[in-house]
Amino acid sequence: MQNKRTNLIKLGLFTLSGLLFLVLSLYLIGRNQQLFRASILVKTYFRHAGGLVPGNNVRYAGIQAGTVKSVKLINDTTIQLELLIDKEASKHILKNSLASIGTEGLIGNRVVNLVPGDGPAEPIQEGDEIATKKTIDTDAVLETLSVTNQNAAILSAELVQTITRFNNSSAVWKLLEDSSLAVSIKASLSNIEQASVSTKQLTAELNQVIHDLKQERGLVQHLIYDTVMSGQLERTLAQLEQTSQQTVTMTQKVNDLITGVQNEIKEGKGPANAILSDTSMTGSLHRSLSNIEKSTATFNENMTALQHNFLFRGYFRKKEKKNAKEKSN
Amino acid sequence: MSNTEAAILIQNLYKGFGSNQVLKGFNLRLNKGENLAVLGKSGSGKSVLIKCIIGLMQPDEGEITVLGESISSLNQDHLDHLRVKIGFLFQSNALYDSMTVRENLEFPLRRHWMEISDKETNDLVMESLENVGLAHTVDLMPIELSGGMRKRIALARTLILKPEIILYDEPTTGLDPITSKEISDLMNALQKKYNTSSIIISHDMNCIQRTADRMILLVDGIAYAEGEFDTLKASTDPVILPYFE
Amino acid sequence: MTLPPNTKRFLEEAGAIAQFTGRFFREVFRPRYEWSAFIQQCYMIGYKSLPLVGLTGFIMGLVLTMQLRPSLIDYGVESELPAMVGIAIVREIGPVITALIFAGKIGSSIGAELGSMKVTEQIDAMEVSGTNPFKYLVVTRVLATTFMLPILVLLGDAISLYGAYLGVNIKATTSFSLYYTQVFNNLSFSDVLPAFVKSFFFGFAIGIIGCFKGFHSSKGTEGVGRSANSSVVLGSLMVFIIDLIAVQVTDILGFN
Repeated sequence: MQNKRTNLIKLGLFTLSGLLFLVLSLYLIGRNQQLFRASILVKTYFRHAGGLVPGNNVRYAGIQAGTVKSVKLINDTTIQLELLIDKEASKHILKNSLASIGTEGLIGNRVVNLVPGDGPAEPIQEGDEIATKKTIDTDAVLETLSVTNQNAAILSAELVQTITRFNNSSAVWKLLEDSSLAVSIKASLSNIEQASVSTKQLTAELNQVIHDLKQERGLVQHLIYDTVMSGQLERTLAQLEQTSQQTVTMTQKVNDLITGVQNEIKEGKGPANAILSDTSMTGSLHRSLSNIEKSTATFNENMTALQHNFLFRGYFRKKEKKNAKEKSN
Repeated sequence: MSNTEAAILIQNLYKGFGSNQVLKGFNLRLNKGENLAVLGKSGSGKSVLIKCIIGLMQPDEGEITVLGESISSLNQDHLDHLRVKIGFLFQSNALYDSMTVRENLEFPLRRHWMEISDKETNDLVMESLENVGLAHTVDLMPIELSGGMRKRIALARTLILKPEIILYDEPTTGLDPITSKEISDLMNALQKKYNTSSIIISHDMNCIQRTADRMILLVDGIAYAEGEFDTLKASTDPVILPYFE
Repeated sequence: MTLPPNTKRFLEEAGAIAQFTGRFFREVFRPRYEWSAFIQQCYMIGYKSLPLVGLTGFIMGLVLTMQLRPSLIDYGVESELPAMVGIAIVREIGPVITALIFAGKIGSSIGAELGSMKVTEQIDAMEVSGTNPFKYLVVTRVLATTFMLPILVLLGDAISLYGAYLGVNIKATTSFSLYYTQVFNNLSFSDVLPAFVKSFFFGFAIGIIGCFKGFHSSKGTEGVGRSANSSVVLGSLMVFIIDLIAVQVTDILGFN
């Protein structure tokens, strides 16, 4: 009998310790998920949840302040987050705080970061909405960075080419020594600069138009059903082509100009010291060069974008075919 | 004969396993206070017979009446109730390996009579053990006992409920002749002490001679011959003869 | 339709086990309840298995940590070691290793015990003594395995996590509080609860199969050995099959 009782005690101890461990671990996990703490619910809206899931942490100024309760898609572009904020922490979080989605470490879990806004405000309360701060999406950053890299590569390659040419050309060096030419070159360069600036503006505007075209769903739909409009667009494109051809012509003219200059230099007329000593001019040369570069790059990009746009795909395909025919002929 | 009350009455019992028909219309009558031996070859269905009597097996056909009640018509509670009055000594003793001798003897007591004081239980256990002369083994485990002792403990456990009928399944199998004789004597002594009726399944002629008042020869699933030991021994029937050689 | 004899035997056995399980559910709710036998079995099956389960759990935790460390160093996430080990132990290693050890120890002992009871007519003797042997032997054992295995899994997890803590500390220094914060910060209910629930099924399967094999043991000592052996084999196999089903069910229910 005594033996049976001790067995019973051992069994009880065994079972209780097992259950205790279960309860303890559930409590510890629950504490992490804020289930057992007093908290308030606030909402915030994002366009992109970036992989956020319920249970992710909410940090205020880098300190654990709550967890994400739910992530809901409420329409095609808006995601509603419900955040459970600790009562304790909520006293110090003001209504004008801004929410953003970030990462714990570089590759850790997603977190919602709350940062203080400007100026004084009331502390947040149950059901409040917190404004969002536009954040840098890593993917977008990487994409841009890649484009930048490509551009940098092209730029540096061309720069090397230019400098090699520069170095090899005795004419340029002569030109640099010719001071009388400096003024006219300066003038023509400033003209080029002006031209390139306006080209840039033009492309920027075009870019904007295309961007809007891409973004605005209404317009695209409109476009699809409006053949007149698409005809106009085609015309615009043709004009665009014309413009680019003109640009080519212009470049040729600039080339001619430079050749003329070179000839002049050969004849030993030009005073180049002025150019050398004039740093502002070198600067503008630089700027204009880079502007040209940028604008051509943007132009390229736009053209690529256009080619990929389904509206214009047919047009470009036709054009390619035409080109191919001409070549075979 | 018919004026004496039957302890067990078996009529036209059939029992088979698959295609193997073991009992084919067996009849038996056990009178009160009588020791009846059932003799048969191995596999002749002797064990099946007594397992049918106690309800461990269901007969395919036929009627078994024990102390006036038909076994097949009883529900589980009534069957358990009736089983208190029937002792069963298993061939392999069936002592519970995980329990001490005391717990083995207590088991049927606690199971059948739920309200019984610890003192009464203890007294009954000791009385039963003294009957078989093994009171000193009360706290041992069955594994520590010899074959003869185990058989006696099993007998003590069978007797602890003071049954009216005892069914012995090969009580002397696997024991040496001397121990067999002791067990047979013990069976006789207890039968006299408690005035039980019993069926003894055996093929041990010495045991049957010592214990049985009457015997039945089970051949081919039926009661081939019936009578007192000496009568059958004197028979010249070629079927009966080999059993007495 | 003629089936190959092996297939036929397999199907027969599957059917018999299903029938046996059905009988278990019929008997388990019907009085009378064998409380003291159940408690006794819980003690034998649960408490007595703890040292074995604890030792294997401890070693598993330690070894798993030491095995994982080089790979994690390769990926530069060595600091995630406690989290990885914690999840591995709680979700899979703990329940499955414990269940396999349990199947080995308890499955075989139930198979052998009931087998020898069957062979030596102890089961018949119980029935004659006014006891329903199915209730007294099978129901109590199956209930005991069903309820004791989850407890063993929990304790095994705890010991295993401690072993992993020691493993983490072999080549680095982590305070115990940092260790358990890291472990529990990376666990969620969906890690703990499915593992806990599936261990009930593991226990039930091991118990049912051990009892079935024992209860239907063929005569003779060879039969007893065979039922002990096959209850371990089939029990362990069932553990994996249930594990497979469990992971899919939790997946469907969205707990993963």
